[in-house]
Amino acid sequence: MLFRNAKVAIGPLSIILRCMHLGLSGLQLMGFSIVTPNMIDTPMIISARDTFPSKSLAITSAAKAPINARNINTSAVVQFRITDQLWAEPMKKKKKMDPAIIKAREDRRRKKLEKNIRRLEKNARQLKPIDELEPPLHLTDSLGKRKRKVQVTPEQQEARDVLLKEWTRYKKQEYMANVAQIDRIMASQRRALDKLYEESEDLYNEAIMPDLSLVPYSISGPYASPPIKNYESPDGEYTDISKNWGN
Amino acid sequence: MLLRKLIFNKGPIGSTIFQRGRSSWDIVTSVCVERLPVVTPPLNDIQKRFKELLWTVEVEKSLKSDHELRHENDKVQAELLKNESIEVDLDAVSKITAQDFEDASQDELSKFKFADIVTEADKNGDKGTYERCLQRHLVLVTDVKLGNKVWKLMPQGLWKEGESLRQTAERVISEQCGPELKVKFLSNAPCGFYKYKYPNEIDGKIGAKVFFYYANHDNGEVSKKLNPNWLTRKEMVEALPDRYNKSVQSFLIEEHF
Repeated sequence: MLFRNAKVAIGPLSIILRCMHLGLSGLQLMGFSIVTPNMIDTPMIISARDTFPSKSLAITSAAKAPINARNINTSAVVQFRITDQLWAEPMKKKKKMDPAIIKAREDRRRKKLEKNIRRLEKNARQLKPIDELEPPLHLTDSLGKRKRKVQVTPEQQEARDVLLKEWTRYKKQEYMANVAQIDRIMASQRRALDKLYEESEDLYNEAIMPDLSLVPYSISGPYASPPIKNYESPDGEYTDISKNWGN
Repeated sequence: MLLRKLIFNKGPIGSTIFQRGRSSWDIVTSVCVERLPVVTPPLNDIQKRFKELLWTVEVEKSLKSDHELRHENDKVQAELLKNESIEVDLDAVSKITAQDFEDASQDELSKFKFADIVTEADKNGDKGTYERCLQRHLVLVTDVKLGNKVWKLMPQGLWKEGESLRQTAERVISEQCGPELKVKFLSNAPCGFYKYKYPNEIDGKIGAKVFFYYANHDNGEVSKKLNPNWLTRKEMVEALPDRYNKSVQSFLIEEHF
């Protein structure tokens, strides 16, 4: 279409174009239709220039094209160029390594792992000893020397047994007294709560709520002797003899 | 049941307003502040004898210590020295005998002064401080004005609308005993009850119902203007009104010495 329009409008130029264009694609034709005075100065072309004084068809300047009136160079148009589409990256060449080195490397890795495994297994079997749980050897050796030779006479034994029985009776009494005491205190509280319920149910409900601020609860004392005021207990010296069991 | 109560709790105490219907009784909250014994009570006869027995059996069953062995060895060496036996190895004779060591230790112990169980207050007969009668339970008793008369009672105060009884108890302690006294309440529930009638009706109320709360003394003295007394069980019998004392003793732990 373009071409025919051109033929109609340009007349003589179109003929030249027709001669030149053979074998050229449409785009190249467009590129080629540059007609400059430098390039062609035949009267026919000049008349073409008259038709298109604004050089409206010129898309690129072909200044570098050889000035040769009779020879129209078709290859000069290749200013537009599309590089080949590859859609991939060229493959890198694989570096070849010495198989001996690879093997050595693999071996080293395996050895390291094995060593780690062995170390772990060894430690799993060997537990850290607790010295305090085993009587020291020098004590077990001198056991015979350390035994006391105590003779308890039958009268003494009798007195002890009597005291033990007496103690048992005493403890039973004490226990009964404790239980009675707890009963008494609980009854007192029950009575107070009942009386409170008579007065106000709201207050009662609030009173039987557990006091969560008491959890956890700790208490200490009483002690064997009263505390000494403003007494700072001296800091004793100590040597750390615990062994370092490295893993 | 307990858990359900916890879960359905209406939120922190105080978010609900506590009200009560008309009643002809005032509600009064009283706080029993008790100082627990600091020192263990003395042993009675059978406890002493049994302790003695346990000690002897313990020693009989034990093995000899290094110190005892050394002591025996010292004796043997001394005997040999006396007899001027040839076998005496002078190096083996220890320079410091076990006996010396024992004496030195005893000296050190005797130099250490334990605090006296009998405190200053005990000597002066001062009942206003909690540092007295270290082996006994002490209960805080203060002057409380009821009507025109001043009674020796545990600190108490009227319940106000909007408070829970526990809050009243805490308020009574902080208002009356001063900021120094720190106590630890052991329950939200009252532990004892007492009621008394007014001589004449006051605002349509014929008397007061007293609910006792129990608290342990933590530290701090009570302000002196209340004339505070820390009383043992026996002293309470003398100081408190009879019926009141009976109600109070019913929730306190007995003492046996």
